[in-house]
Amino acid sequence: MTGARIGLEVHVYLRTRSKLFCRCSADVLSATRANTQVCHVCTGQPGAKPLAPNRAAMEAAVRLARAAGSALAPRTRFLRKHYFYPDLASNYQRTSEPIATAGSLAGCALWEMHVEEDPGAYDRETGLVDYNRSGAPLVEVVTAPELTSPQHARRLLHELRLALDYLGVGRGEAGMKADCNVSVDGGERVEVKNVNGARNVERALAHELERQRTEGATRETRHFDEATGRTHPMRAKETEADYRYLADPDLAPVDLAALARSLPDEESPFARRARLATLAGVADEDASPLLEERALADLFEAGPTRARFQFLVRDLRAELDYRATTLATSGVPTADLDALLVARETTRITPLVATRLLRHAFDHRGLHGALDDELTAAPADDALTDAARAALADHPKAVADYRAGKPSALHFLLGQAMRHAKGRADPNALRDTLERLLADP
Amino acid sequence: MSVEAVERALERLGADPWRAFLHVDADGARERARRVDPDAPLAGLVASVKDNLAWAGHPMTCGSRHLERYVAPYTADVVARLEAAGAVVLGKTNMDEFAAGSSGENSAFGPTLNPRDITRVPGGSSSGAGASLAGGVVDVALASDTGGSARAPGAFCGVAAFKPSYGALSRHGLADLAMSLETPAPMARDVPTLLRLHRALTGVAHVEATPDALRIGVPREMFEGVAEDVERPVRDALRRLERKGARLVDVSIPSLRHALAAYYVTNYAEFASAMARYDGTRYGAERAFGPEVERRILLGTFVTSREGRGAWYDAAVKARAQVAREFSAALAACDVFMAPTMPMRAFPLGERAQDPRSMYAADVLTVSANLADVPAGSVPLRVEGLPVGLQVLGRRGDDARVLGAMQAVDAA
Repeated sequence: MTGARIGLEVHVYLRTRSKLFCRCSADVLSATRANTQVCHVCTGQPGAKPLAPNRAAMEAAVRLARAAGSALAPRTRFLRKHYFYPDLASNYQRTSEPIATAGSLAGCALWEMHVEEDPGAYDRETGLVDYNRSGAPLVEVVTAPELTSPQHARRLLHELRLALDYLGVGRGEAGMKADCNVSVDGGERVEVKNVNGARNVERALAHELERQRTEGATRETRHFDEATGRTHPMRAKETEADYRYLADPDLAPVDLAALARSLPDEESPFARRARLATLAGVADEDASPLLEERALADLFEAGPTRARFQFLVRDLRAELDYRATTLATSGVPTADLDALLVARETTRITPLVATRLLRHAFDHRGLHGALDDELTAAPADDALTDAARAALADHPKAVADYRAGKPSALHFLLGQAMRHAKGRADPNALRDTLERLLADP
Repeated sequence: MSVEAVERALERLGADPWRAFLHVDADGARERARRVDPDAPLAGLVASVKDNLAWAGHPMTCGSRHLERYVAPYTADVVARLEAAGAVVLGKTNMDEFAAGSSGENSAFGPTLNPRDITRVPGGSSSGAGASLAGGVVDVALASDTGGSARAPGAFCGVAAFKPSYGALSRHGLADLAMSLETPAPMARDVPTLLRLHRALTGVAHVEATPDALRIGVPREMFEGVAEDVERPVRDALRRLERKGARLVDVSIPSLRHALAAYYVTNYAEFASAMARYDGTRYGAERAFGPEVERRILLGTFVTSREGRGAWYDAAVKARAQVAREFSAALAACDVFMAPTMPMRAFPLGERAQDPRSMYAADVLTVSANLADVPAGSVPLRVEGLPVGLQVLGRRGDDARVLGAMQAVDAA
């Protein structure tokens, strides 16, 4: 028994403005009509030559490779991978030699990374081809067959997505596809092609492992049916396809070493996560939400307390999810959020007010003085003492109860004092004041 | 000036007895002629464009039935420059199908005839470009050169042709044949007009060459197997330059003996890749390629396949590098090389059409410039009978000096 051996070939979109070899928009997932983001280059018109590989795409891939701790190749050439399929404009796909080797994600070793162009989309029903996607930049990550469970595979995909999101070069889950190579107990390797998204990868693998354990496995390629959650045979893999790779004569090699030198040094997202997790006093994985946007990690690191961590991964996260937005696209200046957090952490505003101000910031793309208004309205230390004294004076019985050893009386007094403070006092600070006065009247 | 030039060109063309053109845009040309800026560098010149260069809104057949109904949706960079410089494009010229040919006989729309002698081939693959110039129809022509496709018709038709260094002219809009070898190539009725065209296309003027400062390398291997009626006028031209003070240097480039094989294997490999898109579902619906195109697709697929690659394609890549190294080394000792362009004068139509190897052999002197990626031009010599071309080759990027040397040959 050697258990499950799983290796993935993952394809993810890189977020760039233009496609890999032409100036068409690479925002292909939001296109609403077929063949509206195409030109003579990405439709392979006779004589149309590719532009040099999109620098932003190459940079994104290099940064991802660094994030995974991979060894960067000094240079790479784009090769033509020949096969006949209606979605391939020229019946070859341009794919780079490995831009990096080794490295790891989610504790699984990586073999290599490539940059390549997406083919178009072929509709078998109608026989029509939409070339909007044709030429969009992808990075392919090939893992070692070291993943041990479907959950492990899913975790790797999450980590990959996290790295891309943190670096600001991913398109989220959208368009993430994996070819899954899987075997159990030293049996034959089966490839499940083109599975969409982390959840389906986990489902496909779980089904496939179960199937192989009961039915056994032969060397073949299978297809995953998302509706039924089952895999079906596609073709037996008798021989390796011969793609007749040819260095694309239209493209000069890319000097990756020079490109890497031109990029600023940056801490790997995973190293940063480990550091921030220690600061927050949480486990590594629990700090992952901070990587979803670099701005979140920056906000945390500006004042790395447990309280701030909680606010960012709970309150702010909830707000972002509710509004289906990101910090970057919300238009809320991070300086505003930082000021809000500082005010909250120094108890100059209450958690309740902080939440109200947070919503205000998202409604109005910033605080616009709302925090200052709140601060002038908030009771100062003197006011806290006044409110506490008033509550004690109004309720001598509760004071006596407390002193007689009934701690619940403090809750009552706190509520009364808060009324005097018009709800604007920080409950912790107010409680401290009450306790101080009760101990030493 | 351009208006009259277009009328004269149309008159000379008549019913196109040489099958030089596949598409003539007479009305369009008249219209464009009226709008030419008289101060433009090529004002007054009429041009033809080889049918493997994209010209928006016009057919682009590449000499193939497969693209019979294809209309280019964009304009090649080099055609845009030609028009911007004031030349009026008359139409698209005939060519060997997908530039696969050396004689002009492989066009799906019928062979081009040589205006100097209509029983003979005009040379290819830019056969129509050569004929449109030799027939006196146009002043300048845009063609392409993959292994001699512009220089061969230059030599056979008695006109000037130039293959620039790779990258000197944008290939965007030039239909793929063998992408690492080919480049757009300007041709003209004579050398002075060629210099003018080249300058308008590139912005770079030729460098005047005075014969007494010229060191001319004469590669031994490029005179082997050359017909006597070609070798003699070429040697005479070299002697005339020598008498004017040029120094002739005997050089040897042994790997040239492998150049033809290395060239064709590379050509097949890249050709098969380039032709993959013509799969019968996108452009022409039928399998409508001529035998030479089919031969090259099959051979190119084989030489890049797992079993054929090591012995063929990889070997060709190595041989190519060797030719390039020897070329640079030999060129270090001289300014330019001079040699015949073609090993024979224009041969009769049909003479070599059935035997691909004898057809390929005609390219033996031209392919090395593409393999080594150096600039090379063909100068028409003043001879009795059928034309003879003298080839000038130079260092990579040294296009201006090669053009200057071509002028010196022309003036000697």
